[in-house]
Amino acid sequence: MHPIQLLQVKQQQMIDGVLEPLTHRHLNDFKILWLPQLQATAEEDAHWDWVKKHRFYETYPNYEKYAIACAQATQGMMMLETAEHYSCIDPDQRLVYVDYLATAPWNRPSLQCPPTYRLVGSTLLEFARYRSEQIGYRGYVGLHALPRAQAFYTRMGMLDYGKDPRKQFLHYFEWAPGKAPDNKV
Amino acid sequence: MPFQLSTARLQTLIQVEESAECDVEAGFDWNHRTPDYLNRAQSYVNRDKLLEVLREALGNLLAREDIEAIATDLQSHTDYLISARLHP
Repeated sequence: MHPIQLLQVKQQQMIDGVLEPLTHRHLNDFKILWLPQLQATAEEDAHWDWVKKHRFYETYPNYEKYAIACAQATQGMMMLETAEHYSCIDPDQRLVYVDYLATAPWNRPSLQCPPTYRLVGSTLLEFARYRSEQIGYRGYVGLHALPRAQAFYTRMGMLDYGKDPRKQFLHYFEWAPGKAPDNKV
Repeated sequence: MPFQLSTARLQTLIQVEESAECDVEAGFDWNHRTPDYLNRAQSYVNRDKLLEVLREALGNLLAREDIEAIATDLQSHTDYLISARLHP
């Protein structure tokens, strides 16, 4: 469990949260709190079923699942793959692949303006980089961005390697140490 | 080393999120990745028969909603195992 901080946007104050391994409690939040709001919109992940995903990968040790919780609700979730993906910059270099990353509907600018909390998605992404360093992958992180999120990853300093036909033509982004400026705000 | 973001880093990340003004999401469509029959309306398991068996065994111990939740979990796990067997 890792203590973290989120920005409560309306009050403009930092509050404490926690980044922890995903459990059924977070999946219940997805079912009870997230899904009704997502299904009411045309959100790209409205039909994602985190419960199915969790079960699908439950016994795979190379898949790690995390959640951010704050104010007694799950604010974001992430699934990482840690053994099967390699950098396209350095084909011999393994990386941490962000298999899925999503924030709660009330934290999405596309659904709520202003969002309730900021820093959920970026903290999860930073944690992916932290895990990459921890397991010896030197901070290499890769992911496929949903279209509406591409601007964020570009500003985070990840390099855009263009559309990937193997993954529904989503853009593939990669963080490699020393390959790009840290942030483009 | 514990996971910790400095105050300066947090401020930078806030600015990044604000300037991007978009949702932070990653990962491609689960439904396209799931083997076809996990998306089918029908499972490999006959739900009515399953519920009948569960109610007979557990009807006196568990509420209807709990039995239905068990049936749903069992159905999806069974479908996943079949999926893994047929599409390695």
